[in-house]
Amino acid sequence: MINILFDDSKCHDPRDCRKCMDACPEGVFMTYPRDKREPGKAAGNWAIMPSFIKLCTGCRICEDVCPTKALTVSIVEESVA
Amino acid sequence: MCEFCTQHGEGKIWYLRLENYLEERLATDEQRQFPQNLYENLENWAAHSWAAVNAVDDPGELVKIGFEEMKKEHYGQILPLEDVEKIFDMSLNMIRIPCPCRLALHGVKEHRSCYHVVATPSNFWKNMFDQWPDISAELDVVTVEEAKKDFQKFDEAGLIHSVWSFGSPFLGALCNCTPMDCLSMRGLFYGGQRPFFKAEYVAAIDAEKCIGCRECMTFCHFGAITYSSSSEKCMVRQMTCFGCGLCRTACPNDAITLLDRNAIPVLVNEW
Repeated sequence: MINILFDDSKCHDPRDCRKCMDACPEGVFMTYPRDKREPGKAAGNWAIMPSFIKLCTGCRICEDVCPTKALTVSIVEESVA
Repeated sequence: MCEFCTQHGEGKIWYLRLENYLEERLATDEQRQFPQNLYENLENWAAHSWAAVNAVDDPGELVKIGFEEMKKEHYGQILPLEDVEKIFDMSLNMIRIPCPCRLALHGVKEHRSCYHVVATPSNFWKNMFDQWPDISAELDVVTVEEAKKDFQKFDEAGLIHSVWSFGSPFLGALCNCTPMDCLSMRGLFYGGQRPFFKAEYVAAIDAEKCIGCRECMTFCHFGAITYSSSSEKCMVRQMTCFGCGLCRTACPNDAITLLDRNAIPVLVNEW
């Protein structure tokens, strides 16, 4: 099973940086606003998550391109019952 | 006929019926609230819904159920450039915003490829978007002529055109996209699921005119075109073709035309 963990204290503005999103061959990532859009108020405080994690192949290209080392690809071997 | 043509088009193509672009089509409170709710929560809803689906062992099944639910509110259909132009000729008010899917998936806000249209003079879409400063700041009002020129460019760039309901059958937007960049077309990566119908058409290659250059294959996002080394020509696999018409744009020898899907026996039920 593959998971991608983000250290939010190291990833500040994923929409400005874009590096992992541009590099991922499978398009695993998606950004979302922590502060909701409301009348008179823009959406803000953007974060990123691996919404399409089932597409992840574990290639770790995203780890390599992340300038702040904010993400870790974690691969847990599934035990055969 | 796709099921929306039967339900909302009186047997004609539903997205070419003027009445489906009138705000009166938003008949219930729930429908009237839908466009507002969608844009207020779009990125959060999409990011968390896709994450939830991806958390289960068989996402394809859940995606299928979710997309079936979307028929009530936000469903689309692929269409070729000439049908886009027919819609623009019915549109009284038109605005262009950066594509919200590309913003969410790639952080790119320069891609102004999402066109909201309404067939009344009411500024329905602009008024809604103006309440949110982040969307309002990036919004352009465009003329029919400008929109047609833009779509011509999108077509030449190999982007698939689609039309979308916002509280079905109220139609409100035209998109230009690829499966990688579109939050809805992403369903194709999960066992071919999608919240949109194939086009009313299907592509066909005239073998007399085909020179076997394979340019059409580079434009097909659906893998519907094959090349035969025996005949040294390309052919369209009709069951796989979505009828977007981009292969026709790519062909340097005008060998490709679009046929009426409804006139081909096996394709009549293939939407």
